Amino acid sequence: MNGCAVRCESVRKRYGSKWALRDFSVAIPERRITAVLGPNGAGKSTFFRMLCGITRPDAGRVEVLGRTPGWRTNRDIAYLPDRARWYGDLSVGDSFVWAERLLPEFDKERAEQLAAYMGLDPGMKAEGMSRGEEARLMLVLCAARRVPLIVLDEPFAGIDLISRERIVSTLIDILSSREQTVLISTHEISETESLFDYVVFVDNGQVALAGDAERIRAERGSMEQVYRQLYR
Amino acid sequence: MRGSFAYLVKQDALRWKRSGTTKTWFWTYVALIAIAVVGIITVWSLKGRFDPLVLLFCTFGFPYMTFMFAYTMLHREWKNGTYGWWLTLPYPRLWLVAAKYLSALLQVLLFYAVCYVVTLLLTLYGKGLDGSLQPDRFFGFAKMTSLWYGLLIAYAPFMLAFGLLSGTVAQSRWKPLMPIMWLGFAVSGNMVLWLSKFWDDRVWNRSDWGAFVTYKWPVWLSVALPSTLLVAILFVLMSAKIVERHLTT
Repeated sequence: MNGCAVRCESVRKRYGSKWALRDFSVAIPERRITAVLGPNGAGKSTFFRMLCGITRPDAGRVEVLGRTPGWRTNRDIAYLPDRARWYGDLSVGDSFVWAERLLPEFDKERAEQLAAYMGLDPGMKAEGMSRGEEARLMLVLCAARRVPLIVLDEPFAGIDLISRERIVSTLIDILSSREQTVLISTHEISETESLFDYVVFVDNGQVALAGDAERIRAERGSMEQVYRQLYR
Repeated sequence: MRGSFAYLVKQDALRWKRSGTTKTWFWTYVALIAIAVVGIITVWSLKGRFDPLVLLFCTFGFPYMTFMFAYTMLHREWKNGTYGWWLTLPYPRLWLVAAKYLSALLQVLLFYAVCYVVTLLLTLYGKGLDGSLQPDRFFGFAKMTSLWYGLLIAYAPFMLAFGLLSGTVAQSRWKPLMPIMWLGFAVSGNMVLWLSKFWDDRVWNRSDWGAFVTYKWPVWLSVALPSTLLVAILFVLMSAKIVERHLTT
């Protein structure tokens, strides 16, 4: 893998007349928490979907964990889709059974611990949950997998402040002690900035800036400031 | 993972079970319809006008419903926003699609079985009430009902596969083909009616509900039905290929 969890070379993807990704090239280091930042429509979700094999590039090369993305590589990826909902008829407990049966390396005990910490009642059904509770459940389903790569596409979208803080503190807690690569896209930059080791700014389907979070902060200020400079 | 395919089938098949408020409303409507049907049959029977064949006419729409069982099974992943989870499951696309197909098949078989039993029970009730219930006539009717349901079940694999294919096409870059798919849906839904010639006047006598004697299976139906099975397999394979390569998500 040469120290890279994800590598894209000149990737292109177009939906109709609109380019989602254009000459998109990036190398994301392994075992670090990487933020993929950018405005709506920048191409972040398309990039994430490509990593999971849902979307295929029109041109260029994508490698995830040293392989071409597809259903086989998804054994090693925990993916939280953008704007996802959870199966309404499943309770928290049922969801963990579902994940245990279908998702490789799902640690049910760990999930139960995380659910307790996140304030999720095991008997609660997803259809009766608030948006924040549902988001926490989906995050638990991803975070409880002992896989090399976790991809979280806007895990904080539409979630209240308290839930967001709880999710961030959980992420810090569980991810700092593990050897996993994590990719997160979010618009809540100021609240989550402390999580990031590496940052990729995406604009109009291209990488506008990428590098170590510490180095970027030292050179250009906080991530929020950099974001404002890039997308103003 | 061991048993994953069976678990997928089970999960999709059981998603039919409604929960909470929806469940209450669903059973309320079932109860209201049941009361209305029993009420109508009671009135007809008391007036001596109950014809059990009416119960079989209701089944003309079953092939269309069968199509929708499979179509909605796929469609609801998008409608409910869960398709991202479904599509990233680490299993061959054919597994995912075939699991939906088998789940829909199980649901359809259960639905047909319930309707079959209800048809015979209502016939017993209605004909018992108007005093014209005779064992030989009832068994004649039961035989005809069984044959008709047999034809519907034999045709179900095709309609399910067509529904599944239409569901995948609707979410793919082939979506512009949907008008043709809906046209195919309209035509194929009643194909079993005219292919089987089951409702020919020579098969049964409209003036006598239990007069069904024999049904001559058209020779070419022996070719047509197995052919629909082959087409069904092809449609399931095509659906898997579309899910793998041609979705617009």
